[in-house]
Amino acid sequence: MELVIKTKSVGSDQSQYQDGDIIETFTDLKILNTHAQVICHPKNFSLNTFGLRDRDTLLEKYMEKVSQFRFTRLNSNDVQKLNLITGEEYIINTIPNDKKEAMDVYQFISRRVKNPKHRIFGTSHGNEVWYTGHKKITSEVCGACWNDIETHTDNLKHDHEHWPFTETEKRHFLPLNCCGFMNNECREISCGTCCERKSCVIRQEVFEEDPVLPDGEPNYEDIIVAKRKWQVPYWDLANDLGIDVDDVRNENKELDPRVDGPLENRSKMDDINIDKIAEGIVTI
Amino acid sequence: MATVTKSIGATGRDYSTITAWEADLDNDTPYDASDDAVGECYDDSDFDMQGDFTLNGGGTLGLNSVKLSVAAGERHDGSAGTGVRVYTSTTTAYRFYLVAISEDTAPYALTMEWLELDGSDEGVANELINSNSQTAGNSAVPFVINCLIHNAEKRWLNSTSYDTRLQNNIFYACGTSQYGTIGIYIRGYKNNSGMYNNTLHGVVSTTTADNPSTYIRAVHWIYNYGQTRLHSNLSTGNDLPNSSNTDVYDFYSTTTPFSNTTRYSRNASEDETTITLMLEGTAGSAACVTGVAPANVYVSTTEGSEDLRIKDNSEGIIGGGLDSGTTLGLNIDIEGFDREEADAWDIGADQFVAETAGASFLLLDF
Repeated sequence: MELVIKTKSVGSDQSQYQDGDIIETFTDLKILNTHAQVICHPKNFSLNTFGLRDRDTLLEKYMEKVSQFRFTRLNSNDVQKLNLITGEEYIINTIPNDKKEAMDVYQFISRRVKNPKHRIFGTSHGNEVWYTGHKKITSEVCGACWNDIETHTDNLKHDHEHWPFTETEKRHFLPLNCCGFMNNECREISCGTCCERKSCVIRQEVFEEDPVLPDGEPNYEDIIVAKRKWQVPYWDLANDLGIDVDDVRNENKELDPRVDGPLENRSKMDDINIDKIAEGIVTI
Repeated sequence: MATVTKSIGATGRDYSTITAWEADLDNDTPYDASDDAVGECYDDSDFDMQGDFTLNGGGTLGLNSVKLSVAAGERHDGSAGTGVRVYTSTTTAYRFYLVAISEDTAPYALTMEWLELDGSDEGVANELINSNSQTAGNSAVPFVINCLIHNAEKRWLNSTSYDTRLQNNIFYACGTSQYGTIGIYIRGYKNNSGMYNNTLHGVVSTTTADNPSTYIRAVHWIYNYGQTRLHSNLSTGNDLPNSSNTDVYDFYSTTTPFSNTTRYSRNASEDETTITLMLEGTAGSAACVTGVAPANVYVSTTEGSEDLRIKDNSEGIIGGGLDSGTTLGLNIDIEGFDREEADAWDIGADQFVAETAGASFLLLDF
């Protein structure tokens, strides 16, 4: 997991960021998937003489792996819709089906191809193919995408294992990476845990002005108690993190203490993350 | 006072994520008090949220306004996957908490525009946008314009205790696991709020049982008040799976029905019975349009390939809207077209523009 830490406070209001708050977290999977999206962006693939994307390119392979549906135009009126997850397929046209789905394929495609970033594939007009919806990005899905990327380009997966923090972010914030630790083994941190570390603290209170909704349910307002529940007290962890606190707080200095190599090289998440509620910093 | 614009994206921008941009809004290095902060997203990759996002920064430093936008040339064209998409790649849902830093409306203290918010059918307990956390006063109203908002498992917008202004947005696919579904639950009280020229389609319940307590409300409007404004919205395709239950409303309010066209006008839906609860006595008049057939009106209602821009045979919709003027960009439709160039305004988020000769060269030889 990678994370980026706030290094400056403006006031002590916990509903705003405080020094050390975890701004955002990134699973290894999210990092790899984002790099794959950048590489497989349609702007990196030219249009053919028909104004369409060529078939069987890396872009199409990528779209097929991450999408839920494939649409194939059959003629001037009909489109075949295939669910790539269930294998279910049926025909769509201007007559609504039992799911009330209908499409004017002529207008649909002619409008789509006006967009220079379109993802309509085909080798001639009349047999266009496109992909929509998305599968959940699992290790298997992402791994298959990266197999294609490494096969068709010079990009290597192991060169894309860090989040692309910007120069501004490296000067204004503190990027770090860390690992989980369980059964005496360093591990990648699960998506659930990773996302929880960037959560805010919200308390629901009945809205005094209109306490009851028309349907009889209580009408709540959501009070932001703390912008972030978790923090990294980097000022107490300088040695562990290999940082100089003055450098971290110097916005003119670009800093990136993330470590490369195996997970064992990283700090352990539970050694550097603090629950602000458990520590009494935030009271609900 | 200056406008400070920062770029957001995965390749060589000022910030790599929307959250990182927001986290710097109270930083006096890039900003000064009274500045207008603009974050412009770029379509370098999708923005994978995986958790909630709270947009409440900038108030401590004293910014004048905050706007989350999309750079010109990177904006969607009214259909999904053509601009900057915000989504979740996993089963972890996300929610946008929009908190305006003041009650100002010129400009609005908080504006979100041109984004595609794809709920990714996740979030059984979450709405995609929540405006119920205002801290700057009862008239603090987030402003959501020209956005595509879709595939919300529970709700598109929850704004029951504080208001939101919605204009020229397309909403579709809502309630994929809900028993009874409300797409937009909104207070409709403050004079700077309201719904203008939005398109809503496909609020559903997945309950197949013949249960009389299931319901659908595409828009549930709480207040009937002097400042209430609901104009030129198009609401269709909202269904319960069991035909014996007719508790389906494209526009719904529990307040007394009335026909005040200053407050409500030119809204359109499929069936008279779904609209008359709010507009009693005006169905069939200029105040509302009924009998809209989605397959005739929209380019595509197909799941996964929705294109809710309107077609040339959209009778009653084309030219049926209220000309609301150019204030606050009301005249800019979901594709960025200026409605002032048309003879009359259409209902919904899209202004129909006839294709010019030669625009369809791609398919002429087919």
